[in-house]
Amino acid sequence: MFDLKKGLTIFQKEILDILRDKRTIISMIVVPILIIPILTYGVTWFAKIQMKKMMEKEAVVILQNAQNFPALRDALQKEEKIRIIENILDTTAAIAMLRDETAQAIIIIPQQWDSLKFTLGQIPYDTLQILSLKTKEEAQIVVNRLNQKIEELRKEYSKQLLLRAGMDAEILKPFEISQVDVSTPTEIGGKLLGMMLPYMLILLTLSGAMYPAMDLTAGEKERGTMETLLISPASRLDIVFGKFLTILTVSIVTALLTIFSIFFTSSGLFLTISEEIRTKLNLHIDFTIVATVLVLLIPLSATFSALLMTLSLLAKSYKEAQSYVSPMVIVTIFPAMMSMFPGVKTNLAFSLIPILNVSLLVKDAFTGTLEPLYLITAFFSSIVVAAIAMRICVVTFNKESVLFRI
Amino acid sequence: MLEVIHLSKIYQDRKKTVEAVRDISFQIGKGEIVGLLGVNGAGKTTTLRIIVTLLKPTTGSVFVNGYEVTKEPENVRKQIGFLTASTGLYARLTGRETLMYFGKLHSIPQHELNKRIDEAIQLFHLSEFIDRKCDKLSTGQKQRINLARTTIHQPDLLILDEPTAGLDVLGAKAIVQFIRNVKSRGQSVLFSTHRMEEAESLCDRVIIIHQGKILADSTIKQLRAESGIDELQDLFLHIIDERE
Ligand SMILES: Nc1ncnc2c1ncn2[C@@H]1O[C@H](COP(=O)(O)OP(=O)(O)O)[C@@H](O)[C@H]1O
Ligand SMILES: [Mg+2]
Repeated sequence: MFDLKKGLTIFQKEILDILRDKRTIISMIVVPILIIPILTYGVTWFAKIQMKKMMEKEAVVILQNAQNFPALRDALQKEEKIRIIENILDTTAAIAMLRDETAQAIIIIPQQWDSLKFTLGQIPYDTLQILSLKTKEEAQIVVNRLNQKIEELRKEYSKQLLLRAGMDAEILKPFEISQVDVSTPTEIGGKLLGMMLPYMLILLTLSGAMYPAMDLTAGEKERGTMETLLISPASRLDIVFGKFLTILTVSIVTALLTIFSIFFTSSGLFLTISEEIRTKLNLHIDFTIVATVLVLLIPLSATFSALLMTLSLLAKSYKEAQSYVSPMVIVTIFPAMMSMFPGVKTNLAFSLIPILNVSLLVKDAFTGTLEPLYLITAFFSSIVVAAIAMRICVVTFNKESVLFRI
Repeated sequence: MLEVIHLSKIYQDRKKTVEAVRDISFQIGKGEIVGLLGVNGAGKTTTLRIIVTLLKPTTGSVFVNGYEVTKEPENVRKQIGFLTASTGLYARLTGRETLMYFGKLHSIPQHELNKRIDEAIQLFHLSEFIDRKCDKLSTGQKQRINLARTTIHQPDLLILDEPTAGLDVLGAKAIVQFIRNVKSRGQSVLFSTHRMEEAESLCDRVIIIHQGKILADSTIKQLRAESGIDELQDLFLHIIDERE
């Protein structure tokens, strides 16, 4: 029934065929290599640009009763990129300006505010009001700057008041606080990767298998080559074997390239941060990590390949196949995402659930908290799931109602 | 060579059942060319697909060179070449790669395969485009590659499902020429068509199938003599009317 030589002939042909297709090259090589750096650098770059833009823009601050507190007025006037307006005395009108973004903040100095009290060494016990729209990001950046300035002024006054009362300003800081991070470099570097990598890895393993799965089944039906192949002396099992192996190969190559890309990108990113943090974040890959990823990746890839192939087989055309396989992405995303939730810890039950087990155990491997027992249970569970998926695929391929739908 | 014995095929799905082929029997001898004649939906494709092992019979059996289609499908497939109007080629493979692929699946040894490909290039005039990707070829060139592919393993029986459908005059002529050549090499041909005149010009014998049943299995000459009708269309309609 099964003839390895024929199976491999089919595998060889399918690989040659699919590698000549630009779409395969894009989804197998270009996407995994580029998506990680583009996402990582792109997001950082975009955030920086946005930040810079906001910083460069002149902020408008409405100051009411400025004459009562000249020190504040002076301090703000010295600030770059802040323009002060003093002639809007109606608060409602001022708030309207916040809404249409002609001003970012309002500082209301009370009518009865008496700056002289400071000089006399008295405490005014009065309240400064800062009004802004919390929903406007730009306004929040301005408010932060204002707070900083006002806080400096306030500290300065406290110091003076204390001095007048004959006390040392140090009294404001009766003790120091020091935070010490005792995590090892592996834990820190691993945590960063451990959160992101399993998710990316699982999704790209899936997306890598997707295109060849559709092309080799529904695509072949659509182009009218399926019948020719089916009446060749290759058995159905040979054909499923050759096609499945092709999809699996493409999927695994995609996944491996994703891993490389993640490492290169992270190392590249680390070059842009300070020496001190860099030595602390020291990326660390050892045999356990590589072995864990491979042990879990291969059965995961096999499961995806078999399921995608089965779904696409049901379709008559490439387009129809797309509508069958896209729900699989949604089903996969949720368990894949669990590595990013800090509270979720691996346990025996989780280690048996497909996709979720890969997500959690790959993360564990990176943070150095891998439990060998769970790796074993996850591996066997993955193998069983993959075997079931492959069986379903073979059964489907033998159904004439599937191959000759009208 | 080919024996079809009490063959029936029922398509069954949730909504409906279709009796596509109802208890048909016929034989084809070595070197014979037989036309399977019938209107759309008569059951031609279904019959041919069962013979080439793509579909399983509901009841009955089919033997090709002594191999039964359900018991030894892989051996049956070695005996036959199959071509339909909708047969496609792998767009990203060249003609040579296509012939290599199917030759290997037929377990033809490499040196023998190279020899046969050279012969096919001669026979079907492929030299100009054999190393070009199939999606770069014209319809006629594709058709010639397809014919070479169908015969690369030197099958004893050729099954052609409406081989001229959708082809222009030149394409159809090439197919007719091909069938004549095949006969001279002693291979048998069973081809389906709904065109009487095509059957007349090529066939030793015609089998008329209608609503899954065989209405006639004879030479056109014989059918003319029996009915006294000379015009082919009328002859065909007469047989359907009379024997249904
Ligand atoms: N895969 C299928 N499922 C259900 N019914 C089918 C299938 N293929 C063909 N049929 C039906 O079987 C009958 C015979 O079809 P077919 O063998 O294709 O006829 P022909 O080739 O002579 O036009 C038709 O009524 C057709 O609708
Ligand atoms: Mg037909």
